[in-house]
Amino acid sequence: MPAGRAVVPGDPFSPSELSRIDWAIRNAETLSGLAFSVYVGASEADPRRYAIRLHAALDDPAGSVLVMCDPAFRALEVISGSRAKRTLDDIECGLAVASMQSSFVAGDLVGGLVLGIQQLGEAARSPRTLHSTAT
Amino acid sequence: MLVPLETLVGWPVAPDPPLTHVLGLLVGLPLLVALIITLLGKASSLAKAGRGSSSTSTGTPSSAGGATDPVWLGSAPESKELTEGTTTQAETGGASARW
Repeated sequence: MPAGRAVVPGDPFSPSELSRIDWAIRNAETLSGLAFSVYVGASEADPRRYAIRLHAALDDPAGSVLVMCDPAFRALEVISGSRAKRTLDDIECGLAVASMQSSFVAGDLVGGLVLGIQQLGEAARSPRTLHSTAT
Repeated sequence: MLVPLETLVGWPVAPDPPLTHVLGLLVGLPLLVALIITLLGKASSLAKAGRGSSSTSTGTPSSAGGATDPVWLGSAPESKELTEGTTTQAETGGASARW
């Protein structure tokens, strides 16, 4: 599978839904400087373990955040790499997961993903340095 | 007529419209408008049903990724084959949920 904004043929999303998710990813990446990936599909019996394996297969796992959603098993996982979790802690991930979960329960898969990715990007936003080097 | 109307002095008496016209205006036209609005509201779901993915964003998420190929958005791994990487649970952060 090529790297980049790849979409496997036969995906369940309409082009407008894909563009909404893609926009959220790009926005989150711009805000945070981290790489965001979204995987929607089947996982394994242990979704967390599977998500970690998916995350480890990314180009830059340390600076990446993976959102894995398995609609069949109703499993949602957010994995942040070792560098990413310095700015995106587990509490913030948990809040984003809760937001996504609420939308998923309501049946809005795309809206939940967009909301969650935006929230993760905002939470991982690098703080602007206000110090001046000039004395 | 529903409202008794008065013809002004010097004006010709207006003929009563036929019953079919009255029924068409008071019943037929609202039904037609309601039908059009309903169809417009259901157009997106009908279009998705035609494509075979009726519940991606509207209802049961279980069919969104269950039987179809997985979808990757953002940066995706080079290879489809997943191996046990060197990343451990302790090195990664994040959160989990079920719904």
